[in-house]
Amino acid sequence: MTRRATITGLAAIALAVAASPAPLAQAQAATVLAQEWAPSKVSHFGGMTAWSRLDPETGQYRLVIHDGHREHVPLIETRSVPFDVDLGRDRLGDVVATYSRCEREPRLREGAPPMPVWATGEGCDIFLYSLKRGSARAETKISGASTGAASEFLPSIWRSEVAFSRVYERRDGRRGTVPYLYARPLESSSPSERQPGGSRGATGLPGPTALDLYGRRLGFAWAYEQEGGHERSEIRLDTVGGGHRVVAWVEDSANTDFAELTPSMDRGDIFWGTDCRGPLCGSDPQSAFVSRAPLERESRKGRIAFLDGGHRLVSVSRDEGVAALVQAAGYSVVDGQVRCRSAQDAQRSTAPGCQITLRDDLEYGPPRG
Amino acid sequence: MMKRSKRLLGVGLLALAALAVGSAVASAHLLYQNGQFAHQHTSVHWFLNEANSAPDSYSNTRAAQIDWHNKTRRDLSSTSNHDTSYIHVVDRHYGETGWVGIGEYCYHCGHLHTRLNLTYSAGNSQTVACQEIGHNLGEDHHAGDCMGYSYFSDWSPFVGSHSVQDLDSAYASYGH
Repeated sequence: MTRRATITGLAAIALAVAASPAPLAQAQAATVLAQEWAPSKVSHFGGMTAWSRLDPETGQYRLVIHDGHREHVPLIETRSVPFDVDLGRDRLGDVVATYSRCEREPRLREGAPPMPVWATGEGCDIFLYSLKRGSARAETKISGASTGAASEFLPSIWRSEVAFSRVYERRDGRRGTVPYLYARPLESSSPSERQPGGSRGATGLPGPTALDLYGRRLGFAWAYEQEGGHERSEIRLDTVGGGHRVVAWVEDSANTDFAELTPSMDRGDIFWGTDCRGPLCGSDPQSAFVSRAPLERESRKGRIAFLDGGHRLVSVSRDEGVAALVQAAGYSVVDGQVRCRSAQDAQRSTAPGCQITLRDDLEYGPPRG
Repeated sequence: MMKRSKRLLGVGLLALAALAVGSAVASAHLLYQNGQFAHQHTSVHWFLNEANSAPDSYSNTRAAQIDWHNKTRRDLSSTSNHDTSYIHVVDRHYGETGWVGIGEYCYHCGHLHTRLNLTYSAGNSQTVACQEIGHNLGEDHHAGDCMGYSYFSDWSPFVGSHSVQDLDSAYASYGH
């Protein structure tokens, strides 16, 4: 799965636009944006939603943007793994997409969600793609953050700042494999400022699985292998130039897998997803929920929105009260690739089984008994 | 909710099956009407309370244990023997799992577990213990008592008449 990204013939086609049935200026309770073959990270910001689309014929992923009215497929190079896309606003206030590109793509993680272990990519740099209407619509490498001596990935932009993760792949031994977090001005020669990350654990991997920069706040998901081989995943919150704390954590056990997913910040709260499979999930042996906690208080009294249907949760992203979700009934491996299973497709993925939805009806309540 | 009901039913049936096989004092010929013989215990669910990771966990779990013991025909006498215990209560920080407590059948240890999640501890540990013990005994969520906590606006920290009638009826139908 770590194949070099290639330009497909599709890149030569003019901007692909697929009209959606109805405008989404105001999100419905649950609006399905798309059904996809494979899981990917979603980012929702400024009325835009971005995710990745697998072409099962070529095995390549394309970046997809939904602007609230219709879907756009930017004319940019494909990847052989999903994009680590994050939407944000640049210093002019325009919505931009940021993501990485790698000389050698990261490997997929074995557990759920089956997303890339981003830190295992090689020669990665980070790019910016403007979604401003009428702009040149070409991706540009973010210089300063992107370096030839290291690998950068998982970018997140907020106005004139960008946060990202970096592996110094030319260093010897473990120092050349473990990821670090940084924040820096987008257009300046100022040095990048290192931010506190999570524990290294036994291997130093996977490390960061998602970043979201929100003003001076850097929220991120971080996972590491504990003694005994069980993985612990955390939602952490750094203040650039300030303190840091663990907002939430879960641990795998012998029979249950947990994962904390893709934090995003909105209206003074931090939101993240939790995916679980096993007898200790609580209400179902397969369950998922979105949690909310205040940014300003060190409180564990978060509120939870349980997602119906026993579906797996791949990614969640929230902005202006609307949450974008990527969900599937489960996963299958078909021809060496991870596919999403639908509820009707219990054994193999014979139809696109990952659903991209917008929800503005999630009700947050206390944890359950 | 349907899946949860099935799971709870499964735990309840396991509990009943365990009773049918293992209870030394079960009286198979007795068929009681609901609540008629409350307080007249007919079988022992040996209760192991190892909720001792937080100051109030043990005492609140003990209070919930006594509540079920006193109000239903289930005998929840205490034991310190893990191997013969029927309900085993433990507490620890399980993280942001989405649940404050969980009742489950432990296949490898052959008894029922009540797990209390201290990560979410919010001063309702007796209620949570009460609800999870209820799950271990086969009860689903319903309004009016501790089984309604976090699901209904109408709940209390204690075992209510709905739960008592449910249990007496269910266990009576199995002849215990």
